[in-house]
Amino acid sequence: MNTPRKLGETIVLDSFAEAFPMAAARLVITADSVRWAETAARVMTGYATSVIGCDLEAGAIERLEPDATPDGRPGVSVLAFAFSRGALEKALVNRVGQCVMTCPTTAVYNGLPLGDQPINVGGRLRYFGDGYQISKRLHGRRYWRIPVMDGEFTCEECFGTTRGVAGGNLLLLGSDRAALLAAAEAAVFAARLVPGVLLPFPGGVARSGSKVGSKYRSLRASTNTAYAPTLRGLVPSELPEGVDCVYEIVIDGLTLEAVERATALGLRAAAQPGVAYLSAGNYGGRLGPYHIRLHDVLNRFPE
Amino acid sequence: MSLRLIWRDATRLPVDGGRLRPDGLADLAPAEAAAVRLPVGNGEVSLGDLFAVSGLDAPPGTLRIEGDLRGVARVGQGMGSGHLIVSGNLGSDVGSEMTGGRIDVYGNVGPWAAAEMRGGLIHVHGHAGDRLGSARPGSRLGMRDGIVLVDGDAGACVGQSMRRGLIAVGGAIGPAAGHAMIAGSLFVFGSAGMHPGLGMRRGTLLFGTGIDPALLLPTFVPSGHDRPPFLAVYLRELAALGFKPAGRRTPRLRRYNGDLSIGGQGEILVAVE
Repeated sequence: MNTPRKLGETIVLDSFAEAFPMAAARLVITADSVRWAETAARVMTGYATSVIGCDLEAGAIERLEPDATPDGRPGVSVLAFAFSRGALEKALVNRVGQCVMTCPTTAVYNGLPLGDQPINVGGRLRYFGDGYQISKRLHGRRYWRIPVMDGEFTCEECFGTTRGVAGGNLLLLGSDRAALLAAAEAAVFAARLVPGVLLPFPGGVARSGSKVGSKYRSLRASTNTAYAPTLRGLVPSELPEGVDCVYEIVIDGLTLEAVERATALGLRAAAQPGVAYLSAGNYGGRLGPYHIRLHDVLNRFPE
Repeated sequence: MSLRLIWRDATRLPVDGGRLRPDGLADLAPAEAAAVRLPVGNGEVSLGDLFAVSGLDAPPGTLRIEGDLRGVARVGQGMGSGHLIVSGNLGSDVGSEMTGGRIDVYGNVGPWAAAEMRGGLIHVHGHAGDRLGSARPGSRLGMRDGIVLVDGDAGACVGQSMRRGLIAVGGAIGPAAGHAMIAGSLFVFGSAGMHPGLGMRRGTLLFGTGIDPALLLPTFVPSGHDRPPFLAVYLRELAALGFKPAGRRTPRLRRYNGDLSIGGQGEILVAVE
């Protein structure tokens, strides 16, 4: 039974987000101008909203000043999450190779401590150099210089990975779709203030929340029937009376603490007129080991 | 435990200083260290006969040597850890074959410094002699890893048969720099002698303040201009290591490929601005 707590007029249900571990990496993309670095990052992080259907979840493009990049050029950082280090490596090799290496003037570097479980990205892309690639190793870090048509593409060989946390989420419930969407945007803005956090869906907001499994055996996930207003009466519903619209904000992070902090910030920002309830999606504790309780994070991360 | 050795200038005979390295020596009490035997000429003497030995208030593993030791060879040879600080000149083979740790020399070093070095850092705040980071006669590979910084000038055949690692020379460099280089990076920020890169197979020779193209062999072909991003990574690292001549800004470079006389794919990068 949910024990409500109020933020303004919005009721925060005593629910929890059920998050799970994912392999995470941080890339630093530089270019002669920040515009080209951002272009590469945007293309590289396209079609990367959910590992349900994409090879990784990626985004959180953040501008970096030249002093904060390895080669002193303007750049951006990008976060990427996948189910395993192997999957992360495969996806990054493909995406860096097709989306960053192809982008004029870019270079890409590891943005996390190398640690003891790095993945190999540049070392796989180097073969594009057809034998003319050049290796440079400095302080145990190897850089590959691959000749391309505007000079050379520099890619660090190994990228550090960390055990990130994915699947943190917020559900915004209300009846006025416009007001709900505005609140969701505010929550996204607030949550993104936390470093090391990725909100992978379009604009940070998902409207097609999913449940595990489907009546169709080939599908791993299908629409979240319990939160689809139009299915009320046909299936067991989690929606209180008067709720006609739900938006979900999914939060991945490099650490559990980052996801929890972003959740708290998102909750407070989302508590606006037109948002009747704030909740979170979970699978009864069966999906992931991290249970991010909404009331708990509000207490632990006060305004 | 750390030690301080002050050269007594007690001999003109050549001294084999191969035992003058922090790993092993710096852990000893001053009296124990003074009893260590060093080859001198065709005999041996106690270290205490050549140096005044005392403790040193410094981080553990530090060995400090003071005096004009240009007759002492192989100081720091093969060292694997610790910090060796030398105030004064040293003879040949400083830090040759070292695998780790750091050597700072506030003076000049003789030939064969860092020969066949495998790791660690050597910073010569003065000048270096010939064959810095080179292969020994009969050996296939020169320097294999690590970093060597020379604030001043360096002699001939620097980085000969170098396989990996970085040598940066702030001043002028002698002829045949990077001779038969296999890989690695040799950066020079002063003038150069004749025929840099002679017989190089791979690797990078950078002349960060430019050189006269007439010094290059005709077997190096120009291949355009560039400002490669990797170089900025290196220049920043050099600046962080306290190597001032490099600066932090990547110059525009003209690239030459070679040595084509042996089918090499090395590169000579020459600053053009």
